[in-house]
Amino acid sequence: MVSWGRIQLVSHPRPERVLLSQSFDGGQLAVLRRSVSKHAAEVGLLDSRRQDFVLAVDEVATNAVRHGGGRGRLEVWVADGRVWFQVSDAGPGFAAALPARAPGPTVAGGRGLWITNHVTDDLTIATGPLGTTVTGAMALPDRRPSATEPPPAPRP
Amino acid sequence: MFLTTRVTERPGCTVVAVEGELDMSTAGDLNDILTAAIGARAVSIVLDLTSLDFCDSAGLAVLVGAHNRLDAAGRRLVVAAPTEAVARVLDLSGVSQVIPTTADSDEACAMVSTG
Repeated sequence: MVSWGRIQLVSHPRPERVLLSQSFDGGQLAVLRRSVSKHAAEVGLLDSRRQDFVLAVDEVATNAVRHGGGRGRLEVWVADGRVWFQVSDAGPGFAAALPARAPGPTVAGGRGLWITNHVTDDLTIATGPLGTTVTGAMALPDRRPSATEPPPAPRP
Repeated sequence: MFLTTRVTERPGCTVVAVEGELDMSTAGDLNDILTAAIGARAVSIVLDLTSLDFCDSAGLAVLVGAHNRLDAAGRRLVVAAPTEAVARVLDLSGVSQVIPTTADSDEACAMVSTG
């Protein structure tokens, strides 16, 4: 599910446990990946799912560096049977639409968000002229999230 | 955040072995190495990824760019021995549809040397 465009009130579950809260720049992506991988393993995300989570955070963090002003802030937490990440930056926002299909295999760029959407169970993007916040989640094994109700309708 | 490469010229192919991680901070380095290798000899390129621990879309862009340049010249790019994580990124992105993967660089060189 991707929420897109106009400002919406999207409520994410309150953190039960905050794993990571730090800012980063383009020189710290590898350190970030190692840290995310370690914390993801600690809360039970394993093997290919853990690799996917690290990849998703990396792609979104890379976008913040490239398009969001060179730096961003990463939060990782556990809530509602899922591990969540949120990357926020103070850049100019972006207007690209999330494609339904991956870019063709001979197209060199533009895969980051598609990959992120593909590997996460939930992805929310909020972007505007004051910055961008991308929030993603992956279910933890053996702890299925409770049946979630649809997000509240945006206020008119 | 490191990437090292070793280029080996073999009969019929050039093997570029990559060690480390491929992301936005290292992708440019690999692109430079591949550009030099593509220009040095009119043969296909084998990318040995045995020791590549991570590759994201920035890395994929370099691979696809190299494939496209080689393809335009009637040459090929083959990936050898990707790790599980990297193989999965190649698959889920669809890049593996145009850049073949082999178990090792010997197999890859054999594939491209016979044309």
